Amino acid sequence: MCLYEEAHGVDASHPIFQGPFPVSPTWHDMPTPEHYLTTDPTLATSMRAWLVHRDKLPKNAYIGVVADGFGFHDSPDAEWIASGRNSKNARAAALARQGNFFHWGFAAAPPELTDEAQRVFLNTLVYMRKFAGQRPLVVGEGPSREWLTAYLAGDKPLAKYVRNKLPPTWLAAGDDLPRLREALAAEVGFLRYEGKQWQVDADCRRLGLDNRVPASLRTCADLLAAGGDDAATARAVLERYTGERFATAADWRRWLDDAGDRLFHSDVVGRFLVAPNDLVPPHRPAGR
Amino acid sequence: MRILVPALLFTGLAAAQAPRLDLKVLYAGVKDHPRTAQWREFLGGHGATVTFAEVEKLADGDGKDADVVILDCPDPIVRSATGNVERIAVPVPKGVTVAFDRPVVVIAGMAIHTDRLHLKSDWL
Repeated sequence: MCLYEEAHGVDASHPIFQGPFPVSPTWHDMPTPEHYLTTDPTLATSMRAWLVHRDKLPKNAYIGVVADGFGFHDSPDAEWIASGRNSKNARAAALARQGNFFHWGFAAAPPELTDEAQRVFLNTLVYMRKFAGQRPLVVGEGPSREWLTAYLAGDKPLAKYVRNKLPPTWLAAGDDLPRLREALAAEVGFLRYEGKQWQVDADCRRLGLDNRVPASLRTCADLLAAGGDDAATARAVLERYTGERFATAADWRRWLDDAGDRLFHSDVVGRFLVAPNDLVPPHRPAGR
Repeated sequence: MRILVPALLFTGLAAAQAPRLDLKVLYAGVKDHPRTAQWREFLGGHGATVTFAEVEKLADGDGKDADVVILDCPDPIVRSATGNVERIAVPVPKGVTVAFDRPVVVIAGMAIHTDRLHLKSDWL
Protein backbone atom coordinates (compact mmCIF):
# COMPACT_ATOMS: atom_id res chain seq x y z
CA MET A 1 0.00 0.00 0.00
CA CYS A 2 2.12 2.84 -1.25
CA LEU A 3 0.52 4.88 -4.04
CA TYR A 4 -0.43 8.49 -3.41
CA GLU A 5 -2.39 11.23 -5.17
CA GLU A 6 -0.74 11.75 -8.54
CA ALA A 7 0.31 9.80 -11.60
CA HIS A 8 3.56 10.30 -13.52
CA GLY A 9 5.18 8.76 -16.56
CA VAL A 10 1.68 8.84 -18.02
CA ASP A 11 1.13 7.46 -21.51
CA ALA A 12 -1.53 9.96 -22.51
CA SER A 13 -1.67 8.39 -25.97
CA HIS A 14 -3.31 5.33 -24.44
CA PRO A 15 -6.96 4.74 -25.42
CA ILE A 16 -8.16 5.36 -21.86
CA PHE A 17 -7.22 9.01 -22.36
CA GLN A 18 -8.68 9.20 -25.85
CA GLY A 19 -12.30 8.34 -25.39
CA PRO A 20 -15.18 7.96 -25.49
CA PHE A 21 -14.70 10.91 -23.14
CA PRO A 22 -11.45 12.58 -24.25
CA VAL A 23 -9.16 13.80 -21.52
CA SER A 24 -6.35 16.30 -21.93
CA PRO A 25 -4.48 15.80 -18.68
CA THR A 26 -3.68 18.90 -16.69
CA TRP A 27 0.00 18.53 -15.94
CA HIS A 28 2.03 19.88 -13.07
CA ASP A 29 5.62 19.46 -12.02
CA MET A 30 6.25 17.05 -9.17
CA PRO A 31 9.62 16.94 -7.40
CA THR A 32 11.20 13.59 -8.12
CA PRO A 33 11.09 11.54 -4.92
CA GLU A 34 14.64 11.07 -3.72
CA HIS A 35 14.29 7.32 -3.27
CA TYR A 36 13.50 6.95 -6.99
CA LEU A 37 17.14 7.81 -7.68
CA THR A 38 18.27 4.60 -6.01
CA THR A 39 17.03 2.58 -8.96
CA ASP A 40 17.41 5.29 -11.60
CA PRO A 41 19.99 8.02 -10.91
CA THR A 42 19.40 9.50 -14.37
CA LEU A 43 15.98 10.91 -13.43
CA ALA A 44 15.52 14.68 -13.63
CA THR A 45 14.81 16.69 -10.49
CA SER A 46 11.12 16.97 -11.35
CA MET A 47 8.56 14.84 -13.16
CA ARG A 48 5.48 15.74 -15.17
CA ALA A 49 2.54 14.59 -13.08
CA TRP A 50 -1.23 14.36 -13.28
CA LEU A 51 -3.55 14.64 -10.29
CA VAL A 52 -5.86 11.69 -9.71
CA HIS A 53 -7.01 12.56 -6.19
CA ARG A 54 -8.68 15.94 -5.66
CA ASP A 55 -7.05 16.49 -2.28
CA LYS A 56 -3.90 15.58 -0.48
CA LEU A 57 -4.35 12.30 1.36
CA PRO A 58 -4.67 12.75 5.11
CA LYS A 59 -2.63 10.70 7.53
CA ASN A 60 -3.69 7.05 7.69
CA ALA A 61 -5.94 7.43 4.65
CA TYR A 62 -6.57 4.57 2.25
CA ILE A 63 -3.60 4.69 -0.11
CA GLY A 64 -3.25 2.83 -3.36
CA VAL A 65 -1.22 -0.06 -4.70
CA VAL A 66 1.50 -0.17 -7.35
CA ALA A 67 2.51 -3.23 -9.30
CA ASP A 68 6.02 -4.19 -10.36
CA GLY A 69 6.64 -2.23 -13.55
CA PHE A 70 9.96 -3.79 -14.50
CA GLY A 71 9.51 -6.14 -17.43
CA PHE A 72 5.84 -5.29 -17.75
CA HIS A 73 6.08 -5.10 -21.52
CA ASP A 74 7.85 -8.43 -22.02
CA SER A 75 4.57 -10.09 -22.96
CA PRO A 76 1.99 -8.96 -25.50
CA ASP A 77 -0.88 -9.30 -23.03
CA ALA A 78 0.38 -6.39 -20.95
CA GLU A 79 0.30 -2.61 -21.05
CA TRP A 80 2.11 -0.25 -18.67
CA ILE A 81 0.20 3.03 -18.79
CA ALA A 82 1.35 5.12 -15.83
CA SER A 83 3.20 5.13 -12.60
CA GLY A 84 2.27 7.31 -9.68
CA ARG A 85 4.03 8.82 -6.71
CA ASN A 86 4.83 5.85 -4.56
CA SER A 87 7.28 4.50 -2.03
CA LYS A 88 8.94 2.00 -4.40
CA ASN A 89 10.35 3.29 -7.69
CA ALA A 90 9.57 5.35 -10.79
CA ARG A 91 8.67 2.30 -12.88
CA ALA A 92 6.10 0.90 -10.47
CA ALA A 93 2.77 0.60 -12.27
CA ALA A 94 -0.25 2.56 -11.08
CA LEU A 95 -2.33 2.08 -14.25
CA ALA A 96 -1.70 -1.09 -16.21
CA ARG A 97 -3.38 -4.04 -17.89
CA GLN A 98 -2.63 -7.71 -18.25
CA GLY A 99 -5.07 -9.75 -20.27
CA ASN A 100 -8.57 -9.10 -18.99
CA PHE A 101 -7.34 -7.58 -15.72
CA PHE A 102 -6.86 -3.83 -15.40
CA HIS A 103 -4.88 -2.48 -12.48
CA TRP A 104 -6.34 0.81 -11.23
CA GLY A 105 -3.99 1.35 -8.33
CA PHE A 106 -5.40 4.60 -6.96
CA ALA A 107 -7.56 4.22 -3.87
CA ALA A 108 -9.82 7.24 -4.29
CA ALA A 109 -13.57 6.70 -4.25
CA PRO A 110 -15.40 8.70 -6.96
CA PRO A 111 -16.00 11.88 -4.94
CA GLU A 112 -12.24 12.01 -4.25
CA LEU A 113 -11.26 11.62 -7.92
CA THR A 114 -10.57 14.68 -10.04
CA ASP A 115 -12.97 15.27 -12.91
CA GLU A 116 -10.27 14.16 -15.35
CA ALA A 117 -9.58 10.98 -13.41
CA GLN A 118 -13.30 10.21 -13.28
CA ARG A 119 -13.43 10.42 -17.06
CA VAL A 120 -10.35 8.25 -17.45
CA PHE A 121 -11.92 5.67 -15.15
CA LEU A 122 -15.10 5.63 -17.25
CA ASN A 123 -12.99 5.31 -20.40
CA THR A 124 -11.19 2.38 -18.77
CA LEU A 125 -14.47 0.53 -18.30
CA VAL A 126 -15.32 1.01 -21.96
CA TYR A 127 -11.79 0.09 -23.06
CA MET A 128 -11.84 -3.14 -21.08
CA ARG A 129 -14.99 -4.40 -22.75
CA LYS A 130 -12.99 -5.70 -25.72
CA PHE A 131 -10.91 -7.95 -23.48
CA ALA A 132 -13.83 -10.26 -22.70
CA GLY A 133 -12.55 -13.80 -23.09
CA GLN A 134 -8.88 -12.77 -23.11
CA ARG A 135 -6.62 -14.20 -20.42
CA PRO A 136 -3.26 -13.28 -18.91
CA LEU A 137 -0.68 -15.15 -20.99
CA VAL A 138 2.14 -15.20 -18.47
CA VAL A 139 1.38 -16.15 -14.90
CA GLY A 140 4.16 -16.73 -12.43
CA GLU A 141 6.62 -15.28 -10.01
CA GLY A 142 9.74 -14.85 -12.11
CA PRO A 143 11.22 -11.37 -11.76
CA SER A 144 12.28 -9.33 -14.75
CA ARG A 145 16.00 -9.05 -15.48
CA GLU A 146 15.34 -5.30 -15.75
CA TRP A 147 15.61 -5.35 -11.98
CA LEU A 148 19.34 -6.03 -12.31
CA THR A 149 19.89 -2.69 -14.02
CA ALA A 150 18.01 -1.05 -11.16
CA TYR A 151 19.93 -2.96 -8.49
CA LEU A 152 23.27 -1.92 -9.96
CA ALA A 153 22.29 1.66 -10.79
CA GLY A 154 23.43 3.42 -7.66
CA ASP A 155 26.82 3.85 -6.04
CA LYS A 156 26.05 2.35 -2.64
CA PRO A 157 27.36 -1.04 -1.55
CA LEU A 158 25.12 -3.90 -2.57
CA ALA A 159 22.56 -5.05 -0.07
CA LYS A 160 22.74 -8.69 0.93
CA TYR A 161 19.44 -9.55 -0.76
CA VAL A 162 20.75 -8.06 -4.00
CA ARG A 163 24.02 -10.00 -3.77
CA ASN A 164 21.99 -13.15 -3.26
CA LYS A 165 20.19 -12.56 -6.54
CA LEU A 166 23.22 -11.91 -8.73
CA PRO A 167 24.87 -14.68 -10.75
CA PRO A 168 27.63 -16.27 -8.66
CA THR A 169 30.01 -16.00 -11.61
CA TRP A 170 29.68 -12.20 -11.48
CA LEU A 171 30.48 -12.04 -7.79
CA ALA A 172 33.44 -14.39 -7.99
CA ALA A 173 35.73 -11.39 -8.51
CA GLY A 174 34.06 -9.19 -5.89
CA ASP A 175 31.21 -6.73 -5.94
CA ASP A 176 32.78 -3.75 -7.67
CA LEU A 177 29.78 -1.97 -9.18
CA PRO A 178 31.32 -0.78 -12.47
CA ARG A 179 32.57 -4.29 -13.15
CA LEU A 180 29.18 -5.79 -12.30
CA ARG A 181 27.51 -3.34 -14.67
CA GLU A 182 29.92 -4.47 -17.41
CA ALA A 183 29.04 -8.08 -16.70
CA LEU A 184 25.35 -7.24 -16.93
CA ALA A 185 25.79 -5.45 -20.25
CA ALA A 186 27.76 -8.39 -21.65
CA GLU A 187 25.56 -11.20 -20.36
CA VAL A 188 22.05 -9.82 -19.91
CA GLY A 189 20.84 -11.94 -22.83
CA PHE A 190 22.12 -15.16 -21.27
CA LEU A 191 20.43 -14.86 -17.90
CA ARG A 192 18.09 -17.40 -16.41
CA TYR A 193 16.33 -17.24 -13.04
CA GLU A 194 16.71 -20.44 -11.06
CA GLY A 195 16.40 -21.09 -7.35
CA LYS A 196 15.62 -17.44 -6.57
CA GLN A 197 18.88 -16.34 -8.17
CA TRP A 198 19.97 -15.23 -11.61
CA GLN A 199 22.36 -17.58 -13.37
CA VAL A 200 24.28 -17.22 -16.61
CA ASP A 201 23.11 -19.93 -18.98
CA ALA A 202 26.41 -21.45 -20.09
CA ASP A 203 24.89 -22.95 -23.24
CA CYS A 204 23.47 -19.64 -24.42
CA ARG A 205 26.68 -17.87 -23.55
CA ARG A 206 28.83 -20.37 -25.48
CA LEU A 207 26.59 -20.24 -28.55
CA GLY A 208 26.04 -16.47 -28.28
CA LEU A 209 22.26 -16.89 -28.07
CA ASP A 210 20.17 -14.14 -26.52
CA ASN A 211 17.51 -16.15 -24.74
CA ARG A 212 14.92 -13.36 -25.11
CA VAL A 213 15.01 -13.29 -28.89
CA PRO A 214 12.97 -15.66 -31.09
CA ALA A 215 15.75 -15.62 -33.71
CA SER A 216 17.90 -17.53 -31.22
CA LEU A 217 15.48 -20.45 -31.44
CA ARG A 218 15.76 -20.43 -35.23
CA THR A 219 19.54 -20.48 -34.90
CA CYS A 220 19.18 -23.52 -32.66
CA ALA A 221 17.00 -25.26 -35.23
CA ASP A 222 19.68 -24.56 -37.84
CA LEU A 223 22.40 -25.94 -35.57
CA LEU A 224 20.28 -29.02 -34.95
CA ALA A 225 19.79 -29.50 -38.68
CA ALA A 226 23.53 -29.14 -39.31
CA GLY A 227 24.16 -32.01 -36.92
CA GLY A 228 27.55 -30.78 -35.77
CA ASP A 229 29.11 -30.61 -32.33
CA ASP A 230 26.56 -28.02 -31.19
CA ALA A 231 23.46 -29.98 -32.19
CA ALA A 232 22.85 -31.52 -28.78
CA THR A 233 23.30 -28.19 -27.02
CA ALA A 234 20.97 -26.52 -29.52
CA ARG A 235 18.28 -29.11 -28.83
CA ALA A 236 18.71 -28.66 -25.08
CA VAL A 237 18.31 -24.88 -25.46
CA LEU A 238 15.21 -25.30 -27.63
CA GLU A 239 13.59 -27.60 -25.11
CA ARG A 240 14.65 -25.49 -22.10
CA TYR A 241 13.20 -22.27 -23.47
CA THR A 242 10.02 -23.55 -25.11
CA GLY A 243 8.89 -26.49 -23.00
CA GLU A 244 8.33 -28.34 -26.30
CA ARG A 245 9.81 -31.64 -27.48
CA PHE A 246 10.21 -32.42 -31.20
CA ALA A 247 12.10 -35.23 -32.88
CA THR A 248 13.72 -33.47 -35.79
CA ALA A 249 15.01 -30.07 -36.85
CA ALA A 250 12.27 -30.01 -39.48
CA ASP A 251 9.66 -30.43 -36.75
CA TRP A 252 11.17 -27.53 -34.80
CA ARG A 253 11.21 -25.33 -37.89
CA ARG A 254 7.59 -26.18 -38.62
CA TRP A 255 6.62 -25.23 -35.07
CA LEU A 256 8.62 -22.00 -35.25
CA ASP A 257 7.09 -21.12 -38.62
CA ASP A 258 3.63 -21.71 -37.25
CA ALA A 259 4.34 -19.59 -34.18
CA GLY A 260 5.75 -16.79 -36.35
CA ASP A 261 5.63 -13.38 -34.77
CA ARG A 262 3.33 -14.67 -32.04
CA LEU A 263 6.39 -16.11 -30.29
CA PHE A 264 7.62 -14.10 -27.30
CA HIS A 265 9.82 -14.54 -24.24
CA SER A 266 8.83 -13.47 -20.75
CA ASP A 267 10.97 -13.53 -17.64
CA VAL A 268 7.80 -14.20 -15.64
CA VAL A 269 7.90 -17.78 -16.86
CA GLY A 270 11.52 -17.88 -18.02
CA ARG A 271 10.76 -19.16 -21.48
CA PHE A 272 9.03 -18.54 -24.79
CA LEU A 273 5.30 -18.80 -25.29
CA VAL A 274 3.09 -18.48 -28.34
CA ALA A 275 0.38 -15.85 -28.16
CA PRO A 276 -3.04 -17.01 -29.34
CA ASN A 277 -4.28 -15.90 -32.74
CA ASP A 278 -7.16 -13.97 -31.18
CA LEU A 279 -4.97 -11.88 -28.90
CA VAL A 280 -6.09 -8.24 -28.81
CA PRO A 281 -2.86 -6.39 -29.66
CA PRO A 282 -1.50 -4.23 -26.85
CA HIS A 283 -1.15 -0.49 -27.11
CA ARG A 284 2.54 0.40 -27.21
CA PRO A 285 3.48 4.09 -27.06
CA ALA A 286 6.23 5.22 -29.38
CA GLY A 287 9.66 4.83 -27.85
CA ARG A 288 8.69 2.31 -25.17
CA MET B 1 -38.72 32.23 -12.23
CA ARG B 2 -36.43 34.60 -14.06
CA ILE B 3 -33.69 33.32 -11.86
CA LEU B 4 -34.63 29.63 -12.09
CA VAL B 5 -34.86 29.31 -15.86
CA PRO B 6 -31.19 30.02 -16.58
CA ALA B 7 -30.24 27.78 -13.69
CA LEU B 8 -32.32 24.91 -15.06
CA LEU B 9 -30.95 25.48 -18.53
CA PHE B 10 -27.43 25.34 -17.18
CA THR B 11 -28.17 22.17 -15.19
CA GLY B 12 -29.70 20.53 -18.25
CA LEU B 13 -26.70 21.47 -20.35
CA ALA B 14 -24.27 20.10 -17.78
CA ALA B 15 -26.20 16.84 -17.58
CA ALA B 16 -26.22 16.53 -21.36
CA GLN B 17 -22.45 17.01 -21.43
CA ALA B 18 -21.77 14.56 -18.62
CA PRO B 19 -20.16 11.37 -19.87
CA ARG B 20 -22.78 8.67 -20.39
CA LEU B 21 -22.00 4.99 -20.48
CA ASP B 22 -23.84 2.26 -22.29
CA LEU B 23 -22.37 -0.48 -20.13
CA LYS B 24 -23.45 -3.21 -17.80
CA VAL B 25 -21.18 -3.15 -14.77
CA LEU B 26 -20.97 -5.66 -11.95
CA TYR B 27 -19.53 -3.79 -8.98
CA ALA B 28 -18.14 -6.28 -6.49
CA GLY B 29 -17.43 -4.58 -3.21
CA VAL B 30 -18.36 -4.66 0.43
CA LYS B 31 -22.07 -4.53 1.23
CA ASP B 32 -23.40 -1.50 3.09
CA HIS B 33 -20.05 0.29 3.03
CA PRO B 34 -20.26 3.99 2.10
CA ARG B 35 -17.61 3.46 -0.56
CA THR B 36 -19.86 0.96 -2.31
CA ALA B 37 -22.71 3.45 -2.38
CA GLN B 38 -20.37 6.09 -3.82
CA TRP B 39 -19.24 3.85 -6.65
CA ARG B 40 -22.76 2.72 -7.46
CA GLU B 41 -24.00 6.29 -7.50
CA PHE B 42 -21.11 7.41 -9.69
CA LEU B 43 -21.47 4.61 -12.22
CA GLY B 44 -25.24 4.74 -12.32
CA GLY B 45 -25.11 8.49 -12.64
CA HIS B 46 -23.19 8.07 -15.87
CA GLY B 47 -25.71 5.74 -17.38
CA ALA B 48 -24.17 2.39 -16.51
CA THR B 49 -26.47 -0.42 -15.49
CA VAL B 50 -24.93 -1.41 -12.18
CA THR B 51 -25.46 -4.63 -10.31
CA PHE B 52 -23.81 -5.46 -7.02
CA ALA B 53 -22.09 -8.54 -5.66
CA GLU B 54 -20.32 -9.12 -2.38
CA VAL B 55 -16.70 -9.24 -3.53
CA GLU B 56 -15.77 -12.05 -1.18
CA LYS B 57 -18.55 -14.22 -2.56
CA LEU B 58 -17.83 -13.56 -6.20
CA ALA B 59 -17.86 -16.88 -8.04
CA ASP B 60 -16.56 -18.12 -11.35
CA GLY B 61 -19.32 -17.39 -13.83
CA ASP B 62 -20.51 -14.27 -12.02
CA GLY B 63 -20.58 -11.26 -14.27
CA LYS B 64 -21.33 -13.30 -17.36
CA ASP B 65 -23.98 -10.75 -18.28
CA ALA B 66 -21.78 -7.78 -17.42
CA ASP B 67 -19.49 -5.91 -19.80
CA VAL B 68 -17.01 -5.35 -17.02
CA VAL B 69 -16.54 -6.41 -13.41
CA ILE B 70 -15.07 -4.07 -10.80
CA LEU B 71 -13.27 -5.54 -7.79
CA ASP B 72 -13.10 -3.09 -4.93
CA CYS B 73 -12.83 -2.95 -1.18
CA PRO B 74 -12.47 -0.33 1.54
CA ASP B 75 -9.04 0.31 3.04
CA PRO B 76 -7.78 -3.17 3.91
CA ILE B 77 -5.32 -1.87 6.49
CA VAL B 78 -6.56 -2.59 9.99
CA ARG B 79 -5.12 -0.19 12.54
CA SER B 80 -4.95 -0.15 16.30
CA ALA B 81 -6.52 2.61 18.34
CA THR B 82 -3.20 4.44 18.18
CA GLY B 83 -3.08 4.22 14.39
CA ASN B 84 -0.48 1.50 14.08
CA VAL B 85 -0.93 -1.08 11.33
CA GLU B 86 -2.11 -4.33 12.83
CA ARG B 87 -2.84 -6.35 9.70
CA ILE B 88 -4.06 -6.22 6.14
CA ALA B 89 -7.44 -7.81 5.54
CA VAL B 90 -8.37 -8.01 1.87
CA PRO B 91 -11.48 -9.87 0.74
CA VAL B 92 -10.60 -13.02 -1.18
CA PRO B 93 -12.93 -13.63 -4.13
CA LYS B 94 -12.09 -17.30 -4.58
CA GLY B 95 -14.05 -17.43 -7.81
CA VAL B 96 -11.74 -14.92 -9.45
CA THR B 97 -8.82 -16.91 -10.76
CA VAL B 98 -6.69 -16.53 -13.88
CA ALA B 99 -9.47 -18.46 -15.64
CA PHE B 100 -12.04 -15.76 -14.90
CA ASP B 101 -12.90 -14.55 -18.38
CA ARG B 102 -14.78 -11.31 -17.82
CA PRO B 103 -13.00 -7.97 -18.12
CA VAL B 104 -12.02 -6.96 -14.61
CA VAL B 105 -10.96 -3.60 -13.20
CA VAL B 106 -9.09 -4.15 -9.97
CA ILE B 107 -9.09 -1.12 -7.69
CA ALA B 108 -6.31 -0.39 -5.20
CA GLY B 109 -6.24 -2.90 -2.33
CA MET B 110 -7.85 -5.67 -4.38
CA ALA B 111 -4.52 -5.90 -6.20
CA ILE B 112 -3.43 -7.97 -3.23
CA HIS B 113 -5.73 -10.62 -4.66
CA THR B 114 -4.25 -10.41 -8.18
CA ASP B 115 -0.84 -10.58 -6.55
CA ARG B 116 -1.83 -13.93 -5.09
CA LEU B 117 -2.83 -15.03 -8.60
CA HIS B 118 0.74 -14.21 -9.71
CA LEU B 119 -0.38 -11.73 -12.33
CA LYS B 120 1.82 -8.87 -13.48
CA SER B 121 -0.64 -6.54 -11.79
CA ASP B 122 0.71 -7.57 -8.42
CA TRP B 123 1.41 -5.84 -5.14
CA LEU B 124 4.96 -4.54 -5.31
